[in-house]
Amino acid sequence: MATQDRSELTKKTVKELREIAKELALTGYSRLKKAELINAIIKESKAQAKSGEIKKPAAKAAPVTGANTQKDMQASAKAKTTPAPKAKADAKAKAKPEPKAKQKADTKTETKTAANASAKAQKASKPSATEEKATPLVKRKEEKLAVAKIKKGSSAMVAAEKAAVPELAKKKEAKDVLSEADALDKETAESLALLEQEAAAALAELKAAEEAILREPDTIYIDKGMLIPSYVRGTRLRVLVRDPGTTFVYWDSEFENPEGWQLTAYNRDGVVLDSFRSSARRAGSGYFHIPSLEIARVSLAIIRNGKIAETKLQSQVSLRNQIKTLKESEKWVDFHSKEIVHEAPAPGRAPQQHSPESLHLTPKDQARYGAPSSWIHGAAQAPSSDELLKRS
Amino acid sequence: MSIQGYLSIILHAHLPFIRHPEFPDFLEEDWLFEAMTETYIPILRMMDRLTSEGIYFRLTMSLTPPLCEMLADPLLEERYLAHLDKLRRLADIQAKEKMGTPFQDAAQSAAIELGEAERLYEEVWNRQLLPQFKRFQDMGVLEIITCGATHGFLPLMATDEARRAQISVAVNNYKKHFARAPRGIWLPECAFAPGLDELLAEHNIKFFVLESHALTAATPPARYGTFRPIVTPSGVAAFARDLESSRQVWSAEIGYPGHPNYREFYRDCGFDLPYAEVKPYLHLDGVRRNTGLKFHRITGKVALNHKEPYVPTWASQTAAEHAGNFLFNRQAQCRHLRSVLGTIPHITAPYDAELYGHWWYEGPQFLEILMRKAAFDQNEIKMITPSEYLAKERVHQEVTPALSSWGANGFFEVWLNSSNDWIYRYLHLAEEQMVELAQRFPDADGLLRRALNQAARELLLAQSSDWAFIITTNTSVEYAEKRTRDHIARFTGIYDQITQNRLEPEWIAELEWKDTIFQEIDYRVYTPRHQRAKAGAVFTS
Repeated sequence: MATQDRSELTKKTVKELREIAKELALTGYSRLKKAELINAIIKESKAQAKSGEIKKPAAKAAPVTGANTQKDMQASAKAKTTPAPKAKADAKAKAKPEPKAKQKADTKTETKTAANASAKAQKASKPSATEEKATPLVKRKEEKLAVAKIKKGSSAMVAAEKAAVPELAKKKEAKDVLSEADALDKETAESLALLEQEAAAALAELKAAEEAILREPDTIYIDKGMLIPSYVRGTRLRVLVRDPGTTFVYWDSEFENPEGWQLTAYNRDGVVLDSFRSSARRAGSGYFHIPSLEIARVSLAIIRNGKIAETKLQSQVSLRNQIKTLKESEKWVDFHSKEIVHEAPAPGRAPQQHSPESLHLTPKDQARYGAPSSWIHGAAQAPSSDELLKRS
Repeated sequence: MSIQGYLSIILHAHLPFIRHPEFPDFLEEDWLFEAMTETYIPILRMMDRLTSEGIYFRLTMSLTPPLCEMLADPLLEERYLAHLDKLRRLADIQAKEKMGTPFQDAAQSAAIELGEAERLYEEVWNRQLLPQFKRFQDMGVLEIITCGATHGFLPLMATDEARRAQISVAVNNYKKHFARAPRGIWLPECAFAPGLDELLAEHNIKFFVLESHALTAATPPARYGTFRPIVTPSGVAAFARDLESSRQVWSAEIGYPGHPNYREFYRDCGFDLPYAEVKPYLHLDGVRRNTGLKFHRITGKVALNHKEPYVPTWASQTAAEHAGNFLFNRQAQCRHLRSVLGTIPHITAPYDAELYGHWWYEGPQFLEILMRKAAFDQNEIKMITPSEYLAKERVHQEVTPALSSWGANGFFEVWLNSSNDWIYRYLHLAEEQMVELAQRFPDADGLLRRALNQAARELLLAQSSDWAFIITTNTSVEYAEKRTRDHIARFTGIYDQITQNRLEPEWIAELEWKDTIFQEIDYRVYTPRHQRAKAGAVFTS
């Protein structure tokens, strides 16, 4: 190929440039931006002009066939790239070291699974038997059609082509192909009929294969994510306010042989507001459905031999981060200087949000629009910002 | 008539960080690709048209750090282009096949839109969307705000250090992408608990966005409700969502997107076309899924198989009508509010960006017509960004907003319920362990530093509120649980290796390759404040 001229290349679209790059057997050209692509083409065409030969396109990576489910795809890729780290991290995520024998067994299982997946990946990367069977069929069909085209002229062949392609997709449409083929001479019609039968058989096989792969295979390597222990290290009790009427509590413990737990919520005066029991062992969680604002702290007691013993575990509801006590004053500040411009006791309720339905006017209503009268209920007249500035 | 009110339209653009280099093809990466094709590119094109015609408009967008990181990622750029090219080819074929059928207009319109999107993305924008957003911000028509580093649900974190890290990493990431500090932040899920504002003030953030009842139930009650921003005790301004303007767009009953003329989201070519025809455009597993090509309209409350053909011109007319209606209602609302409040009201209208285009296909058209109408047809409502408003209006009431989020029922139930509450014990422990590591290794370098940085990445990724949300909504639960488990296990693995002094460089390298987010991260963001002050650290924003 002649050395490429930069100005000509610049005029071309990226698609055209990619075509050229493909012809030049450039690798990785699809990742290049336009300017980079032009540079690469010029460089390559110069090199080829110099050596007087064109590189053969690099062999394409083995296609991943449709015979893979997404899970299989993920599994095969995972098996190819990262079987070991999963095993490592799983082991690391466990709180306590496993006995040696068990570790060994686990490693074996992982290796086996990874090997299975790897074998599957290899299998997947090869074309399936049905595909191998179907490909020559398609080629033969194309050849026959080309011969017929020469023999019979183009008009009949256009019809035959139109019918022949969908025929590959659906068996029921094969009849249309046959009716079209009748218009051709006997030889072409016979060969098409033969091809139709073969193609239909191959398609049926492909369809069956497709259906088969959509089902989960017997042996699977699904990357379901790494294992994490069902509890975490240490002993703790934590309370989270979820909403004004619900508080979530969870705990982890390293106490020995608990039969269960009792969780109790107290108010600021130490009065019990609510409690519940849990038969969880190391870790547990639950919800208090009482006003969150009233809960000052939650305690955890252990149940052993049918008796309840308080532990030292207590968790305070964080007022700072979760619920704030009420203040009854109104303050206005300058956003930029942060100075207080006006401060006074709150006069009462704030303006309420109007009912959205009362405000919404559809385009139809728009024509007969009258000002809604009650968007804001009982709002005290607030000072305007001009007034506030004057006061300051 | 003089100005009766200000309107800030805020679009929250967020997707969790999903990038799987270990797989050749990954279904969940489509979430980003769909949003790019249907929302981000159309919005950029809208701003391009408006600015080139010199039309006044203002828009605020939160581009979250995970989204920015994905939009700037070469692997995802490559995969997106392949995705878009495939979709455009299918659209071209369909445009030809549907000639002379009732679907002709829909198919041709889709082919044209996709062709243009591909041309712009590949040839004009050089596969880079963030510089385009930045361009509009530099022009002053768009204000980009940040969000939590990985959209972590701040009130449900156990430590201030973890909350601070979410803000700090986000601010630094914003600087990396937009070459300046953010003025505003979208609190993930609009979740607020008193005290969070102090962390924002520490990072010099000027304002954030809240759910309505954060102000109507504030302490003391906000005098103007949601119709003016307030200032928190730490000096950060907060704008609360206006229920009315929100409901006109969001509501399933009265919301605009449900109009029969609009494109039906759930009827897709991926299920309509013969399998052989659509298979080359599906994922490698060959399972039928939505492709993004849709040729039916909502029609009404009928079954999917009774949906009628989509007519783009009808949909455009309806979008124009709705834009006019939206503006009309804002004018009426502001006139009334001004007469009652004695001050010019400010309407905060925040939405999920992906609503515009992805869920509501005509959303970007609606926005564009709204901007044009606001510029030409009236002078009562002025579009404004929060920063512009704060520069204009100086005096605001000081209140402490109430505990709130924009999730169902207004609090934290979506992210903390019996289906997902198991995640918190792990997340909280990881927070504590990360803080411990930052304290123990104030000046790590080499492999240890890389491991500590990766541990911080894994913790941040595990904290993404999206996983808890997905588990609750019961959509891609398996994936969300896997992501939570993976990141926790990876974090725990690194923690164990560091504390047992047996770091494995290959494994750390593999994690760095997989979870590439925040290359600029410095694990010392987890250093407790008192220790940081002593050391005179300078790594925060």
